Amino acid sequence: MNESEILALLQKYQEGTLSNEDKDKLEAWYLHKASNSNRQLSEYELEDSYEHLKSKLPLAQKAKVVSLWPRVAVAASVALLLGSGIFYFTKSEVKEEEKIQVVEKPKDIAPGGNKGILTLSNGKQIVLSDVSAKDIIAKEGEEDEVTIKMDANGVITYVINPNADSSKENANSFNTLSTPTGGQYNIVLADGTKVFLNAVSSIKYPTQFNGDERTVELEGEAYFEVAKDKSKPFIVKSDNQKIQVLGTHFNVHAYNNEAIIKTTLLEGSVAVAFRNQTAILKPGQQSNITENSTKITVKEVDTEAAIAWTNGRFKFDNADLKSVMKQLERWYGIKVEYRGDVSDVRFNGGTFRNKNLSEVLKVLELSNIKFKVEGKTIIVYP
Amino acid sequence: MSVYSKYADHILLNLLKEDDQLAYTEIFERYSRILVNHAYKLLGRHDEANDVVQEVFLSLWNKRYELAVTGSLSSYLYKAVKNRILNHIAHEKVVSRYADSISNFIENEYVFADSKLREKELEAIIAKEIALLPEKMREVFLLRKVEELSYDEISNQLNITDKTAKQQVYNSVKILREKLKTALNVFIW
Repeated sequence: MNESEILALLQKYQEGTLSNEDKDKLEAWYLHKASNSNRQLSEYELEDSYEHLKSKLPLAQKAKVVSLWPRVAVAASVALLLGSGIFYFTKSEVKEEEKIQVVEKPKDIAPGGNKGILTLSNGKQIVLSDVSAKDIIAKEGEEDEVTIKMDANGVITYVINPNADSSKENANSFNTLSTPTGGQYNIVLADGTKVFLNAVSSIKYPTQFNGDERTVELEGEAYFEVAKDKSKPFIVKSDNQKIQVLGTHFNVHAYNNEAIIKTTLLEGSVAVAFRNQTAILKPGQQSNITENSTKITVKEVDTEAAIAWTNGRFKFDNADLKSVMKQLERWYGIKVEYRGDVSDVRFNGGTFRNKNLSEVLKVLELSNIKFKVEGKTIIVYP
Repeated sequence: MSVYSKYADHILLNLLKEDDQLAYTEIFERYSRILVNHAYKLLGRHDEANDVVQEVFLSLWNKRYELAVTGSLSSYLYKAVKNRILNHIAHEKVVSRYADSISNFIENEYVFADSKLREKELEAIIAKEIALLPEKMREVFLLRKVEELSYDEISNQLNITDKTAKQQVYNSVKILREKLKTALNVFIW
């Protein structure tokens, strides 16, 4: 075959008008060439390509963050009541002459919903929205001692077979429930403990709790209603923090792209351990730990704000802009950029998580801040 | 985002169809380097390889809502690269670089096979290329592929009559196995 015949062949391939055999000739050549080529880019050259492509493609990038200065002392002075009174917001510093302005009507971005991915002990991953309610999802254990079910509300439940030989000390097998952007999911563990998992989070737990401790590992945010069992403490590990409880209700906020791990107690008592320190929380208290400090700080907070997400709401209690925007990033799959100094903006109040993004931004704009929506990027400026 | 790095390819694909940019980003993290290397094997030019892979990833994002992927994500991406490269070669100025190779192959080595066999050949090439990646990249890449570890099953699943092709796939899988045994003892098959 000469060059022009080959060119004709290739052009027909492009148009999709080749016979199966001619098409196969080209593909066979391609595969032959690929598997016999010794060409190889160096690690350095591949890294170079990676960086080059990264700058050309619409990838999710880390937000450019203007450092948020130490909080300006805030006196919540004016509450703006909106509509039914469900939404109220305060300004951190009230400047009378500044009018609230909606700069641009943002294009609507839909909220998240119930989305979760379950990883079984054999590594198989299941998209839970593909499973219909009341299904048995899988069985775990050497003799199928544990059944994983989905109840009518979509909650994942671990049921231990009553006939299973409980005297046997099985090695634990672990499952992981995780949520993507815009997903949250509820689960009942083998001991009856309820876990609500917030967006972009994951929890790893044994399919049954043998041994004398109940240990789970959390990345991201979850609310726990721990089933009482005084003989087996329940332990939540996140990064360097370890929380030990007997039977209580509490929320753990431990995203590895946020500086502070927050543990908020609603009922009972928990011990928060971090490095060599331990703090015992009382109901209504929240502990904060940061990577740069060895101390655990404890303060009184609005616990409702900490667990509002489990009730389908956003609620902010003197929340700083960055942490509010992080929540929106995780729930709406957006990217946030900061322009100018917006460090002193604090939010109080709330709205619902099933609203489109534009409605949530409208509420936030009452707090002396403006948003511009460019596709899925939200630009925040004073 | 470490939650995403643990998702198997088909989960990422599922999320991508729902407009999840983090899933797209994770696919890029996993596949950009190996696809550039693959394109380079055919094209022999680094910048052309970059361009081809850029187009493949751009179109993956632009078509995310109507993606119809029947096999694995990896073979989808490799096929997309293949189509781009064959299209690229179909230009008059480029074709001369390949004309001899193509005509030589068609006239002397080509044996007809059905598309199923070609699919298997492609899978074997993917497996082999992963095995030959620089160690650091290979490890990260493979550890993340949770559910697609059964490359060694490829040889068993083969329903191939052509002996040469079978041997070729077998060789690739063998190389892969040996490579992995030495480099990745953390791996459980």
